[in-house]
Amino acid sequence: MTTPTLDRCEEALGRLARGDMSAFEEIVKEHQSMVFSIAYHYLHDRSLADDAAQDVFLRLYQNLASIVSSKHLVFWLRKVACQRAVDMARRLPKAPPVSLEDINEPATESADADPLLSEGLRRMVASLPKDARAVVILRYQEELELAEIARILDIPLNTVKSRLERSLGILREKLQRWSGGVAR
Amino acid sequence: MNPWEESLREALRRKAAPEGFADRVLDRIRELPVREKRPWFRAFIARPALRWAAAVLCLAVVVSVAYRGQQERQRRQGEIARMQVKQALRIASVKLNAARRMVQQVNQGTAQNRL
Amino acid sequence: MNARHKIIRTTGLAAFFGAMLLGASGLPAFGQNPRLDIKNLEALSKKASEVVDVNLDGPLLKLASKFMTHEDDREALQIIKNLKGVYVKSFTFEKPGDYSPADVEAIRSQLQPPAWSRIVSARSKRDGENAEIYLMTAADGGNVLGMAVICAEPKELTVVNLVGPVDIDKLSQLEGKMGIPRLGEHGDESDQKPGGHRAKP
Repeated sequence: MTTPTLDRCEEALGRLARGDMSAFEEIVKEHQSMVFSIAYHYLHDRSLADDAAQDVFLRLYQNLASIVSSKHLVFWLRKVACQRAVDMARRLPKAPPVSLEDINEPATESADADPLLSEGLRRMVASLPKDARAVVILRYQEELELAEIARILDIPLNTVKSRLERSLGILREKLQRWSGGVAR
Repeated sequence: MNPWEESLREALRRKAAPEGFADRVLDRIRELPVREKRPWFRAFIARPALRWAAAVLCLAVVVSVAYRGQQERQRRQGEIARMQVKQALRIASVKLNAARRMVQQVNQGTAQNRL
Repeated sequence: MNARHKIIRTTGLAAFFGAMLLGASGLPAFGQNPRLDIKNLEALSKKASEVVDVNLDGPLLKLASKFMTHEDDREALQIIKNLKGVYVKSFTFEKPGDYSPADVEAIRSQLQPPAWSRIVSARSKRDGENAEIYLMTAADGGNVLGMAVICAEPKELTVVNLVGPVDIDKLSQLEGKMGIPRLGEHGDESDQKPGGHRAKP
């Protein structure tokens, strides 16, 4: 997270503490992309991700007093977003296997260099074992160090390492099968 | 990061939240039961800097009291230990000399008998 | 040589070399501890009318020495400065027979040669008193590693155990200091024992 963003957050938190509720809207807008993306990449369903992300911010509103700084806020949001996504995923049926036929050509121009590959990878991530999914998302979406991931998920560092390794192995295998044996 | 992981990173790039997301959140918040007006001290302690200062002050007081308590406990313990050392050495000295005296008396008695 | 003989021989050799090493290092003989186990005497507290119980290990002795800054603490400080432990159990009873010879024997059994040497043993049949002084010295016969004193009287039992290099002469010279009556000032041993105990009925 860039420094100007943190400064804006600190400023908003300060205003919030003084009772200025418009600061909350600013905080939501600042972090909605992060929270929504965590939920979306976990669930691979926009509607469910929207619900999960809203729940996160609702919980934030109810726990504002426990937030002590902008860094803490980001930590808290990532943590609760993962928890909420996991909760929701438990209620979903098992994810179907990913196949090339399932992936439609994107209707609008995508920012991805290879939209087909990206979508394939997203589906594969969403089909990873639930305990490993969050690790991959925090590592590659949020670009966090493993120690930070361990803190957010409240698991040992070695567990993070082993889950990441296992997940990358699964993804490589799936990708090879998906792309007809040609590793990209 | 290798090319494969770069693809993964690209695939998992943050997505924009759906249109009107913030508004939907605020709508839900407005539907929550109306919260009571916060008493002045809650507003006061809601400020992070003040909360931290209060916590640090409390910690300093607790540490100071605990340290002084520990010093006092150690002083009492030391005085008791000093008295116990002296008592133990007194007893040891008396018993040591008593034993030696008994031996001396026995030796004196033996010597007199010989005479 | 069969396996069993081999084990015995190997163990024996190991013990021999171990003892040599211990001797060379000035440590006590194998398996002996200058600190006595006098916990069995704690049961006598219930029957005793007066009890003195001192348990001062290394750290407590160090702490005590920090507070021994008075003029009259000087001699005591000299004695304890290298000690590792000071342990005293002294019981005064209402009547004779409130403790048994077995209680004393349990202590005496720990003071066996070659580790311990009994340097003084005195018995007074008339008064029913028995006093023994034991020393533990290093295997090379050099440093004193510990001292034990057992004084058994009809209505009093005292066990003193000092762990570390004890200066017996200095300890003996404490008489007349620290409130200890000097021999001859009051004739025989004073009626007043340290701490207000009476020596004789």
